[in-house]
Amino acid sequence: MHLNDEQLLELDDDNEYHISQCEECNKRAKNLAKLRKELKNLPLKSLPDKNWQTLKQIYSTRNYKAEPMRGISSGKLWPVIGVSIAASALLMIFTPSIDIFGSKALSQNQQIVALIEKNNLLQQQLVDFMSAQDKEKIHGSLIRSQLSLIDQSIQHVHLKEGSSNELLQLWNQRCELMKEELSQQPNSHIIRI
Amino acid sequence: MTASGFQQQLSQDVIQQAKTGNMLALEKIYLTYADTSYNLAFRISGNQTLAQDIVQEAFIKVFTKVNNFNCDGSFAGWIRRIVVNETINRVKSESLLRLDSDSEVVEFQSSHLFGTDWLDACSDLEFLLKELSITSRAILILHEVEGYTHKEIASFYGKSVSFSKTTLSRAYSSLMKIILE
Repeated sequence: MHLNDEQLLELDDDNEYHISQCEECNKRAKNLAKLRKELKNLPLKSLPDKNWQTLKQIYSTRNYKAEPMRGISSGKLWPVIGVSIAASALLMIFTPSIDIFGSKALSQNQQIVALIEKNNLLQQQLVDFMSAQDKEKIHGSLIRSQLSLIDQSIQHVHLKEGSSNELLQLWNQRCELMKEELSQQPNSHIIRI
Repeated sequence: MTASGFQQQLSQDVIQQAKTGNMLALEKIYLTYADTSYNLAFRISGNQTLAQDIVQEAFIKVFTKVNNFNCDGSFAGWIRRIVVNETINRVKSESLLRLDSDSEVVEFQSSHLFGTDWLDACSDLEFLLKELSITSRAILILHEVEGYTHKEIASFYGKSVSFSKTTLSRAYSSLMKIILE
């Protein structure tokens, strides 16, 4: 009795012994070995357009978005979505000291609060848009860098207890940058605030 | 002889650096295994664009999960498993794969597949492989080229061992039929 094909495909010790004794099965085993060799010798296909920089950008972008899940200790969290909330909190802390400058400062303070809200909405649109558009990943990191720089300046102003005017300018700058970015995207609709 | 494909092993130093998120180490991993990963994804999917996409996603997973690699087994083997899983999942989601249920798989007890040297009649094995169904081609490549056991293949598909064995026999049967017809 000869081995069936499945036995031939997965030889155990008994079947090996059978092959050594049976000319017919030996021949079949040799044919199978030849097939396997041909399969293993298929030419290696190389990845066309192997581009580390692109992969790095994509990985950084996704990693960047995943950062908030890892906790607030990472510096990357700040520019993504936390900046406005954090800045709002800082603003609340500094509000009493701003108030002492009088009604003009108070008015600027209100403008800042409004600008922070505007920034939050624009940023949300930008994040949504970038996550929906794979092709925007490289450009996306540029806008994030620019936003990050402004965020650092905002933090700096807060830490040195700078003027409301400086803050107002920076928040405005941040807002305009995102507006400009969103307006350049095809099919984007900036929500009126 | 220089090791190639998934035979290449990276130093523990590179792996440890990768675990800390070092970009140079991640680049080294990518450059070492990108081609062989693509080759595997392409052999199974039969689609260049899809295979490129699979490689990209697989490496993002490798980078994200490298911290979970516990250094017990081979790092290359770990990457290869991620590539295989990604390929099978993507092929499934692209609706290219029809998974036969175990009840549909007909038990095979043939003994005619390797009686003649029918491969001699074939000049282009690569072309021939494209004629197979994706499942048959995948299992043929995973078992006969990559060396996965039927048990491992069954776990990739969430199916039984007999599913893998029967599909492999069927793959050879289809190859023979295509050549001899």
